[in-house]
Amino acid sequence: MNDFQTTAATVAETVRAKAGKYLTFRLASEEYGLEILKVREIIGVMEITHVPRTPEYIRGVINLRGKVIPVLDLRTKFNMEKTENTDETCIVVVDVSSTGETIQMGILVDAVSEVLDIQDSQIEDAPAFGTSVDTKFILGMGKVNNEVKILLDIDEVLTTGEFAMLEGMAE
Amino acid sequence: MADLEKIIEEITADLVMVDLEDLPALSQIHEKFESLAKSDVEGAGEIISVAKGCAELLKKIILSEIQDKKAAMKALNEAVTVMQQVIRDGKSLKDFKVPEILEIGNGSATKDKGDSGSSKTAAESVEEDIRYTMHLTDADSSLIGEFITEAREHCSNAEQMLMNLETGEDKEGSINAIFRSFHTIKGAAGFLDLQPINVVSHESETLLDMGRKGTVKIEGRIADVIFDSIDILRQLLEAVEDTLSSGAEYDATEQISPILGRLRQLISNPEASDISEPSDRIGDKLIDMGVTSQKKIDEALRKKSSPDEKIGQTLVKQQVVPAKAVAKALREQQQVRKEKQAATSAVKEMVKIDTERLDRMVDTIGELVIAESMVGQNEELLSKASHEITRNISHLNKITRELQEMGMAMRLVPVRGTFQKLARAVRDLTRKSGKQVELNLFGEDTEVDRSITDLIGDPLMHMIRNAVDHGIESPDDRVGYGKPVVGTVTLKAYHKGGSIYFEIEDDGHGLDKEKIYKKAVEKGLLEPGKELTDTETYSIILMPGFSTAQKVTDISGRGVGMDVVKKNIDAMRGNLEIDSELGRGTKFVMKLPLTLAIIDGMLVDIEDEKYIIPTLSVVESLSLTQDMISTVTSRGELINLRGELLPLIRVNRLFGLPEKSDDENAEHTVVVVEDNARKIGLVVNKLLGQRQTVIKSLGKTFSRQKWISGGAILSNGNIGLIIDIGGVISLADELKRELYADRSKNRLKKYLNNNEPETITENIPEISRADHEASEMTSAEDNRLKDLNAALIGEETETAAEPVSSSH
Repeated sequence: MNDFQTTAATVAETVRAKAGKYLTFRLASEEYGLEILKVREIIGVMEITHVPRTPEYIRGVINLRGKVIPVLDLRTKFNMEKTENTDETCIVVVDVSSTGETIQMGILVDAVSEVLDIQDSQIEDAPAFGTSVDTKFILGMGKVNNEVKILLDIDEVLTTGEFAMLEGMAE
Repeated sequence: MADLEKIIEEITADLVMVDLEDLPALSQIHEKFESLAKSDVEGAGEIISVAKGCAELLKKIILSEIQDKKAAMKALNEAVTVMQQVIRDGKSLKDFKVPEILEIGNGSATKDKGDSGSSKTAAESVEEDIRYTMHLTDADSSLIGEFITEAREHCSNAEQMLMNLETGEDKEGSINAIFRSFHTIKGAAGFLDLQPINVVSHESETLLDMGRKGTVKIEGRIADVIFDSIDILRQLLEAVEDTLSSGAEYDATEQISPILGRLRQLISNPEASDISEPSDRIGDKLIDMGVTSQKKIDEALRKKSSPDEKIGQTLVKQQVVPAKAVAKALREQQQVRKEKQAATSAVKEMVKIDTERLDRMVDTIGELVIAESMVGQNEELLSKASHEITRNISHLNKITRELQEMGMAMRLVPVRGTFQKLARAVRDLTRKSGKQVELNLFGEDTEVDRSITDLIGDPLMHMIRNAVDHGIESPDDRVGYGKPVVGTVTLKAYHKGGSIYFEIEDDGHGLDKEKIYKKAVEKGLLEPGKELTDTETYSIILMPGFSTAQKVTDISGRGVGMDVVKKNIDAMRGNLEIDSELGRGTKFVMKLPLTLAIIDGMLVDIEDEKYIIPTLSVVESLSLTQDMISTVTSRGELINLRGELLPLIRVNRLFGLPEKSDDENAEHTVVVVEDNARKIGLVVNKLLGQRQTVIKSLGKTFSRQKWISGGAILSNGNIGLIIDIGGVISLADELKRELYADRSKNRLKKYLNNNEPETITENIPEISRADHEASEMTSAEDNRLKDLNAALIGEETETAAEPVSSSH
């Protein structure tokens, strides 16, 4: 009982402290990290059905074993240059919680790199970029082997801004 | 004395003529017996006493307190013959065995003899004579089967809770749970007419209710009784199962009277002592056969020589019953046991499954089907395939199909349950409305998707109510019209061409076209003078706020109704047709898809993207050539379809899809669709054919995209989006409105400032010719919107002509 409580406390602290396992992926030349617990699976690129009259960063929907899930293009979302898909391009299926509900969503990334264990000491808060960059969806910056990984708060990425509007207007 | 003789003569004649079911006639005879019994003619004492017995017996016959009415009638006849002989031939009653004749009424008649004031004995005998029987001859076996499964579950629940109660866990919650279990069993048994189960659960419920209120403590002896009644319920359920296969009547009086006695005693006096309960099956059988009585068996059992001795042996040894009878009873017992084994298979084992799991399984099967067809139709594989591989692939295909069918069948349930509820409703309705209605049901075994049975109940109930309440006339009116007094409502369910149909037909007074028309005009639902076809007139009753009922009853007719029905049917992607003949009746035909999970759609190609248009909305399709299109102020497009002007919507432009071909003359197809009686031509590139596809929700993310109602998994595993016609039309309308508002604003600005307006990129830009030239719209986005606008404004050219004035 006591052990369990200690563990639970540690876990709670870890969550707050942002340390833990991250799945890292590449977008253009930048490395990003996703909390591993949010990641459901990684699939290769398949045909994406475009849904008309949706923001450009919503690529469309795919059939994930009988379930229809939306796919978002993170490059477009982050206002990066659009590129053709390569062999390395994949869809990371994540669980996104918005207003108490969890939905599955695919995000299109250039390539998946590795799973990293990032210590608390390796994480810094996102620096202020002034108005040019919205840092709301950045959990922190991970420094691993002289590289910087941008740790994403995926819930925030996928539920704020235009996307939230897309949903909110329906209610 | 002569008077008496005359009355007896009359009775004799009446008894010969009377029908057992003819209660008025029986009560007349009863009166005659009574008058005999009351006569104070000297020397007629014997006759009076017999007459009293007869009157008592006849009363029981009338009140149906006697099982074997025929035998009772025979006894009456004999008794009357005796009376005749006594009065005519001056014989004494001692010469006959009258008491024994009248003993058929369980001795009460003889008991009452000479003690006419004793009403208590009569009341007691009435109590004794209530028989608890179950008639299962014309019962619905599947419904009962379901009930048995459910009731058993409730029994186990109640038992578990009772045990919890004894161990002291959550007393209040447990009592409530037990109460609910008994309550459910009681309700269902009452509905299914399983009287013994109903009575036992009712009495237990009463006792438990006292426990709930705290008047008694559910523990010790009381808990024992509840446990026992659970056991009895189980036995009864088993008996129902047995009887279900033999289809006979089951008399549970002997079985349940001890427990009923105990329950009732505890209810009236919770402190009272217990009564033990005897039970024996062979004994019961022998009593049923009429060879012996409970009393004699009990006596025989007391005299039993050894405890191991079988009851049959005891009875034969003591010569209570002939050996032949015991043998027969044993044979029957064996027969019953054999049937019981057969019957267990009739009552299906059911497992409750979360529908979500079921859906997931059906999804997975769908994926399997796709994966299988990908392998099976892989050209590379097929070109190299050996005979064996081909055979294996076809085997795989067969199994996959089978699995697919099974998956679908798992979601199917017969409409029987829904129909039963309707039958019940009609019974109640006829009683309330004072009309005589016969409900005929056809196709109760028709299977439909679960999702449909859940949704179909309300609309059907509504229409049935309408048919009974408004359709069928009162009995007097019907006679006046020369129709049979009993009205008929027919409810049918059947499959036809991949759809399921429900038909509701009544032979009532039908719909009055003129009245409907007049009322619609009155209510402002219709422009006066407009000509309508019959079908159009009838569909007025489906409009909100329309009700033709002359008076509002508590059953139906509050002005809401058919529009709700229509809405429900629309939600199921079905349609409703009405056919009626004044004075002859009305017929509603409801057509629904077999399942809500599958959509019948037209697969179309729009700029290389695949979309599905629901077949239900499609009126026709034709290939579009440039010369068919008439433009209005060179912007809006129309086609003339056999004299009907249809606005065209270029779906590619509406959806902002980049056009693959610049060729104006490239072949296009118009799909004429209808939504809310509004016809519109959707311009698509190509028709790819009819498809039945599984609908998938796109989820919350796309709930704002009203022009898409969902996704469908196509045969190659990709998703095709299903176009929502209403959504597309309102999207076109909305964009057009924005456009006008915008344009008039700009025009106004131009007027006031005498200035060239700026192109507002967030909004929809100007589209008029002059503006085209003036503003430089180079980006693809702007071009797209320009095209889009061009696609949209065709419809309301009148408004377009004077945009400035409308903005003031």
